[in-house]
Amino acid sequence: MAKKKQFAGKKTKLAELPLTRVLEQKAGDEAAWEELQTSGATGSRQLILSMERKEEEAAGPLAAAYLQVLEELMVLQADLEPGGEFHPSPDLPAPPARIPLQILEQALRQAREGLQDLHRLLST
Amino acid sequence: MPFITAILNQKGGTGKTTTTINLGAALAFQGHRTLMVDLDPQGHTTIGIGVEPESFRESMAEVFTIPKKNINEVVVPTYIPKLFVAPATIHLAQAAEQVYSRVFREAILAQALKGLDYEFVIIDCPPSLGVLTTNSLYACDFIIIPCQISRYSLDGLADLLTTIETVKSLGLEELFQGDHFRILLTMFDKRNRITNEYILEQLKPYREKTFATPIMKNEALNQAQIAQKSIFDYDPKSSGAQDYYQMTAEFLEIWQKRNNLPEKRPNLQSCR
Repeated sequence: MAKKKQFAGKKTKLAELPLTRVLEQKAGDEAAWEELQTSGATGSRQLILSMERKEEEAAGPLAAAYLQVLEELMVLQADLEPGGEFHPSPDLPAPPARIPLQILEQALRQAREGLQDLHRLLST
Repeated sequence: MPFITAILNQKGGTGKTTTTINLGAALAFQGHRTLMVDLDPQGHTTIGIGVEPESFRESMAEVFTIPKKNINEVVVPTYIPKLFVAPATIHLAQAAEQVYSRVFREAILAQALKGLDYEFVIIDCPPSLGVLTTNSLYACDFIIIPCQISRYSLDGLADLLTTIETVKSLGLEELFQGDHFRILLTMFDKRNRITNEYILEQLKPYREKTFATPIMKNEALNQAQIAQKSIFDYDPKSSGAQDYYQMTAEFLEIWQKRNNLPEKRPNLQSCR
């Protein structure tokens, strides 16, 4: 077995520290927001998940990403509907800061296409 | 008021003493009046900077056992102008045992450091999370955590961050958002590619809290210990000297920001 593959699933105390989780979540939120802004500016559509990732046996992250997309979709929908309110599950990361309407519409389109792609990926 | 920095990691052999001596020397060479407090009963900062145990009568053991003893009474000069050391001997281990029965035992060092005429105080902590370490955590303004590239260092770092959070009474957000600590990667060896990749990935969330300069594995740093000199005196052209110079520059930037001072890049030439 390749040396690196033997590291898979090996957790350190540091990884399980609440502070590390807070920082990871913060970094994740910032990255998602930056990506959204970049794709909004260029008009290009980017799918974070790919066949390569699936082949790397990233089933855990893939499932987590799927849940994240679902949650963000619900947050975005709630934002579009007047008086709409969404209470995220305490186990899932908090939604990013308020997003401008134009980017929001584009994000909704991207999310829909992303979910379709994801569905195709998971069913193969 | 001095800027008090604790060099801390309960794991042994991570480079605490080497960092204390070379950061202290670099600051003194930059013209800053600096005191190194040796809080390790092994007394390696004391010996490492060329102060022999026979040359002083009192040490940090007395500071911890005699109530209201001021640290100035035990401080001795080093061979580097503007660099001083509050020395330690093995008696400090016994002194630490005795203070367990004292009230406010965590505040003994903070009390002893009051009103000192130094710009920087650097505390070399012992490799444990006992009463000496909690004293330094209680007294300090800033923490440097030397960390080797190894799995066990990461586990140690987790325990340490939890302890810092408790002793400093900080919440998770506050611990990260306030400028309380920096991780310093030590004994970094570029050839250990797979280990480096794994450890750096684990440390990714702490990127902003890690010195940009890692201290590379360097034989001159070991040899400087034997010579009882700072790396700037022993081999100023070594990679160890360059790394510690860069790290000191980063440290000074943090200090300048904390004190709203104008940014001033230190001069490499003044480190010999």
